[in-house]
Amino acid sequence: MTDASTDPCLWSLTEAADAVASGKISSRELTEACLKRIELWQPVINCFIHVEAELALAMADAADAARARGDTLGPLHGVPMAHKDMFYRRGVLSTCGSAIRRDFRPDYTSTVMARMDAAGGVYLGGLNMSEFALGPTGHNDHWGHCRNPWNPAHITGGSSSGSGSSTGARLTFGALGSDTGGSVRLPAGANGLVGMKVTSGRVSRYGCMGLSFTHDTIGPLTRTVADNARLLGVVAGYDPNDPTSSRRAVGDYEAAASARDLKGLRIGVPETYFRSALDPEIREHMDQSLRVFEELGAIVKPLDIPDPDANIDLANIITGSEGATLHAHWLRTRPNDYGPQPRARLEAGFAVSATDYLTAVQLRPRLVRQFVEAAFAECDVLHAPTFEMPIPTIAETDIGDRQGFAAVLARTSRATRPMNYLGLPAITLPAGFDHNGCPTSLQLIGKPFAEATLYRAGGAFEAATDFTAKAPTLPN
Amino acid sequence: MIDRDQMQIWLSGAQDYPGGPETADRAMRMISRMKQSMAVLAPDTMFDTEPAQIIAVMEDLADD
Repeated sequence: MTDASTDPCLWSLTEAADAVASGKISSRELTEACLKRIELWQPVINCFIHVEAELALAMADAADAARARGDTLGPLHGVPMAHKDMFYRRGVLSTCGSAIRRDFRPDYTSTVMARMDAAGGVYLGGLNMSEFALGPTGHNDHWGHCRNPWNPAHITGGSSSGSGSSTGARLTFGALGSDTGGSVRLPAGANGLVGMKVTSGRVSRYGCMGLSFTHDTIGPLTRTVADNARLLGVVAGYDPNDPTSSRRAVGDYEAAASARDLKGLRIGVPETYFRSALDPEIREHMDQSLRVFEELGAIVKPLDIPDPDANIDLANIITGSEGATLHAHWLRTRPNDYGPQPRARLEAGFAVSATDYLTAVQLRPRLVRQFVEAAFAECDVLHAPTFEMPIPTIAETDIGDRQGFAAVLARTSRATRPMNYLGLPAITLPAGFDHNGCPTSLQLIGKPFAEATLYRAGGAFEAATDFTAKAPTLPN
Repeated sequence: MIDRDQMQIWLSGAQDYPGGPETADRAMRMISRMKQSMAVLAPDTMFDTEPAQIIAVMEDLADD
């Protein structure tokens, strides 16, 4: 248990699950503690779009009753969590961070929510997000900007802004987000969390709001590596409702996360792209993290990789045209219900020709093969920053659709976006704190379906550092 | 291929979008960058490109 064991909200997800399973605390007590903490923090960080207190307490009571009956308990039994407000749950509000779906209540449940429920999870509510998952900063013109619990003047990262902010503030024990260009990793990094962008196909997308058929992935944001491994173990795996999901067996992620020795692990450090535009403060934190990996037995060496800039150019074509396709009807019939920036981004997608789109799609398998064979011939994982600069303020990035907005967004997500076109897994890990008190973070990138390898490296790094032990305090 | 002026006219007319000129410019830059990258990534014909499925390639390259 953590030192702060008197406040159950400060436990990790796995600690909370163990406490409920052992009877140290009931799920209702744990859920009520989360709801009380949400009341205190929500006015400061605006991380929830809707809190489902009645539903959460009913689920908690059901979890307690199941335990009392002696039922088999799932790995999340009685643990309260909230999720990005885009994972459909039958009859429950799912706004997608938008005005257009302000009152939308789907008539079916997503596979990821069904699997969370089957594992015993308790649903606290829907979390703030960038409108329709478009935006790496956490701004939202309809529901209010989400704020960083470590320093509320600063951004949370997006688009899974509330998933990062709420889990960082210890209001929920973990959250699911979606990652199309960095939307799990950026809010994980900005809020001092562990975030996993999974291999394309690792997690079902059935019943999840889409942005880009090609690039969308679903993944967890958590306080610790073990928490993350547990959540991914619950939601990963083949789903007959999503024919793009992989039939590959799900690894023992929790066992991998318990590693404490990285002897022989080869870590490649790409110099030409990921470190070419680094802020000096972030560079220092990246260098410190590499020294930790070396102390753990890893072999760290510089590496040349194929230029990821070109991947981003192709990814823009794909996301632009797929997003415009999904939103075409509403852009014609309800254009003024979009915020200025999401609308500007979506409208541009209509300019892409079918041949340009298909060229970018058709080249993807070839470029993935080239990248993997070049980058991973002599290393097991790549090391990179998540953000290239200290976390900016909300004011600095509140640019709407004004001149230069695309450059601001591109700079914010420059280190995360290449991996979505390539479909590769990447874990974000806390790496320290910047001069504003906001977290810094690193990414480890692996081969397809290397999530277990990333958890192994992440678990050992976390155990050798103390970044995940610290929690933000409520501002006066 | 839609050119910049066609895009602007369409955004301003059919979409009734006031940000048409800026978005048309940005769209053209996006496509131009893509074509420049294509010239490097796939300088030759796409004619012999195999009809690979991404999921099959990911499975083939998987970390085992």
